[in-house]
Amino acid sequence: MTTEIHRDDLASKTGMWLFLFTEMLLFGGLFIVYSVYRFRNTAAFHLAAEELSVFVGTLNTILLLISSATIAMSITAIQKHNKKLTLILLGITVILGIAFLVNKYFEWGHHIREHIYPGSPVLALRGQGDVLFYGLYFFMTGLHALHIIIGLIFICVIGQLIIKDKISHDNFVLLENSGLYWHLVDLIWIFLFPLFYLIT
Amino acid sequence: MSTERTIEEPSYLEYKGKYKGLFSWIFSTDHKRIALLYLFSILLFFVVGATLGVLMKFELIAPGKTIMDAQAYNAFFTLHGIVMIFAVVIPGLPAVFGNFLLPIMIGAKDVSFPKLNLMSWYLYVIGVSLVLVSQFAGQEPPDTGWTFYAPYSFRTAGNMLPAVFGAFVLGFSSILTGLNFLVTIHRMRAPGMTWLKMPLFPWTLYATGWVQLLATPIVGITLLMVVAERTLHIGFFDPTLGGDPILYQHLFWTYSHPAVYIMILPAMGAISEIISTFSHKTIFGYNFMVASTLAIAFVGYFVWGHHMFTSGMSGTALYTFSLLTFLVAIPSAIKVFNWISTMHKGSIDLQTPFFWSMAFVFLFMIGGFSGLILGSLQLMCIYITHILSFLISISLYSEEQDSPFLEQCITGIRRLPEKCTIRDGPILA
Repeated sequence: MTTEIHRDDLASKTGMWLFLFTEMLLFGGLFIVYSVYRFRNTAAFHLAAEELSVFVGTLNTILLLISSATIAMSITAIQKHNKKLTLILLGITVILGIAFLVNKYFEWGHHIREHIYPGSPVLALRGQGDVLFYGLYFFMTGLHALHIIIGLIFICVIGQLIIKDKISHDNFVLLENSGLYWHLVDLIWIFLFPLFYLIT
Repeated sequence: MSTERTIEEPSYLEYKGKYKGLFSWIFSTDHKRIALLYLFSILLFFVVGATLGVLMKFELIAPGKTIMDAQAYNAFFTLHGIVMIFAVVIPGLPAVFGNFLLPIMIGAKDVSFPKLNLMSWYLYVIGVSLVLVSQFAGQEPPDTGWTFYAPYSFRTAGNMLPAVFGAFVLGFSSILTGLNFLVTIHRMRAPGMTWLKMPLFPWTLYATGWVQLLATPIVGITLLMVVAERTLHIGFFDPTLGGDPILYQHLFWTYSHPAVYIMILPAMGAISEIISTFSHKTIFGYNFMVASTLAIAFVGYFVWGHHMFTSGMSGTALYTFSLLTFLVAIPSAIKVFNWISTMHKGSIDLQTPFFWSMAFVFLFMIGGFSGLILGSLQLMCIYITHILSFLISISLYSEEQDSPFLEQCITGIRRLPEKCTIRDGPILA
């Protein structure tokens, strides 16, 4: 058994990029479904979108954009041997991610209190366009929120590894990969935000 | 790298690592051990699927009820389809022979991500288990067929959730295997092995890897939508809620047509190696073989509509899909010509694997020619009901038979080298 450790950061990053490709296609399928139903129910989608709170959507967009910036900064910080700053920046990323989820919770809660959720009889009375719009809204933002939760877990694990010095200035590809993942989650939101909140 | 030892090392079969017995296999990250894990689990599920198939044939042996009623037949039919497609032919060649031979053929020590490789196997086992559980848990077994067509897949009383989610997990396992191979081929080829010096079997795995990576997520999200449809009544594919069942078929076949190339491309690569070896000649037209492999994978993305000729599409879409389907015949024919040209004036050694390869080429030609008949729009549309059995026999000829044929074939020649050494790291480094 050979003992040398095979390490190839470029391979790890290539693998991560390919994985992000599959994530994009996963959401791509949903974007296609969205486009088809938007095309068929233009007026209903238009009216339903006006009911979503642009303020909360914008706030969430800003939160995610800042969190993307902080995780990018943490990658630079670790290269500059600044372990403490790296952890602080990752902490801010996690807090912003959680804030995003809290906003989402109140947003969803607001809709559910108004009996707008998939399978609700009140929603069914409003017509097929609304059913599809809110069905897609809950499914797509729900899947996105699931990705946020997975991303937060990753970042916490990465934080642990930094504390244990398993990730350091000359071996930070894991941090870089989780940064890439977090950017993807951010990017998908950048497309979800106009599709659901802005195109009215 | 400079410290590498050249002394005799124990075979991967005898290697004593951290774990003993069964655990030395199921916790091993060695690509050869993982390949054998796949081999034996796939063979096990092949036996399950084949038994169901035999029982279905017994039922059909005489008119009327013979050994099972119609509902049980539908359940057997569904499980047979899911197991054979998602758990046998799709992982069969890439996961078993790809895992075993890819690193050896490109001069690498292992795949790029050995732990991910092992995780793919675990996902595979979990996925198949979920599919099998769907038969016994719940009220009734799934009865939709392996295609899970909407709207029946969320109307039926069958226990669809574990089956659909199991197929999703199997897709995830397939994606990770493809991703692993792609990165391995990009990063771990031996020094001097440029792209056009790479053997043809790794080339076909490369093309397969892209198909796995780019097509599988679409079926993944589609299956998740079916799960959401059943549990939350969202209305994606439900006409009563404004959804479109035809859209489901588009999304489903966007993956499931390329999936047939996941099944056949590695088989073609292996056949190229076998014919060249037993003809004692280099492969005829290597560059064209590479190009045709990539062309099949590429064009394969744009032909899914031929599964839906009678489902309801615009005339333009029908003609386009028919034309694109014919295009696949060109690279496929190039392959057959080159196989035959490789044998021409070769010093042919008539060993068993060569006979199997001949059978492959012969079956592939039957499948290919009848594919041309089916690709033509009018025949397909007019005779759809009459030729359904024809259609099924074609898909059995060209896909399902080729792959198991080939597995026996390669097992025959290579007798998986036993002198390979193991490179096994701890699972949690």
